[in-house]
Amino acid sequence: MLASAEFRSLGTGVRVLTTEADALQAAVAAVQLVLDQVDQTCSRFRSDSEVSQLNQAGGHPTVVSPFLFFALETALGVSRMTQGAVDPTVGTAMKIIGYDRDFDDLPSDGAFKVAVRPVPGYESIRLDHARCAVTLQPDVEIDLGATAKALAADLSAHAAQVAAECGVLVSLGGDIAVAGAAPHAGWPILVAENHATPLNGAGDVITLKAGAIATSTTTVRRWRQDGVERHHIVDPKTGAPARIHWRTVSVVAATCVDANAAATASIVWGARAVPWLTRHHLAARLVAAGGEVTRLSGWPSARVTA
Amino acid sequence: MANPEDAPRALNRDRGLEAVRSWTWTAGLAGVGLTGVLAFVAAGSFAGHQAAAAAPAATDPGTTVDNSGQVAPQPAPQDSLGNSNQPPAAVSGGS
Repeated sequence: MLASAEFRSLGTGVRVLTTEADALQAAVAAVQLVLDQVDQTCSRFRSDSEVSQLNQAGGHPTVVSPFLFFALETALGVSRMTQGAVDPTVGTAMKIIGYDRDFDDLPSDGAFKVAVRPVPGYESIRLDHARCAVTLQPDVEIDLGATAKALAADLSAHAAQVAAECGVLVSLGGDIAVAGAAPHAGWPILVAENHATPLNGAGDVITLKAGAIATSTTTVRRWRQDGVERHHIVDPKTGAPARIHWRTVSVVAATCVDANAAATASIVWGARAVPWLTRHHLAARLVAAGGEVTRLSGWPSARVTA
Repeated sequence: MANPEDAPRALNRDRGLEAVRSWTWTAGLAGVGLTGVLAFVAAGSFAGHQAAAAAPAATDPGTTVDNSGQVAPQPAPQDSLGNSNQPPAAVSGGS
């Protein structure tokens, strides 16, 4: 019998499910351990986090924890995979466009003009594997927001599965990873534009037995800056929020990191995302700016609830 | 000469120190344990990434992300009326 628990972490809603009810507590404890570690290491909004301290290192080599090193390696792998469409050096660009604190604390309209510019680029980050050290250029700030949550979903799902010894599903603000033996028919998942959509809300319902699904959208974290509508997915080539061709993209992949990378890159790429997703056999659901839905690479045909 | 009234205070102090020592060990072990768990989980979850770091070509587009034959979403089971047999367990959406 499925059991579930919900709580908040990393500034978003967390949902944990297990296939065995009496294993839920162990799974939740494992997830919380991982999320606490990710928050202390990777949060751009905590001045005491390791990545915040790295951002203030002023271009000097900095020895970091193995976990931050791993998170950075993951982010750089995603940058290479997406040919720079998802880039961790967007930290300064995020500040320039006004996303400089926890989203809940952003003013409704920041009234100041800004000058955006291309981000420094992930190639500027130097990793020293032997010393577990990182060197950033003096003007570079890291933002792991595009990969850390997905990485946390993958890690916490596996940690929960080890702790609970049964099938688990972990959802971090809509980034979902599953591990262990799934329910017989798979995990039923509603795919919508906003992760806060009720379980009986409108959207495609699919099932997953393994792997992960992630959704990136321009419709949720939005704010106004000097009268201009902003969203949180930055195009590294411009340093500004990506032009909206697809407003929401959901991708299924072997890991949540891969799924999230493909979904976010697709928002940045626009129409060019379709051949890339198809070539890589990534099942995807893309919602155009006007609401039209495109399903690719084996994404089930529409089964819309509500 | 020691004040007899100090004896309970000293005892309390010793117990307090013992408790602090015990908590320090517990916290240290928990920290080491968590690091170990995360390292184990990370190694198990992303076995290919370490090798990829040593060999950048392995992370080129079309290599790591290719999903052919790996993971595929399935349509939700439905009854004869086309309704879902089971409610969704979670929502994938933007946040």
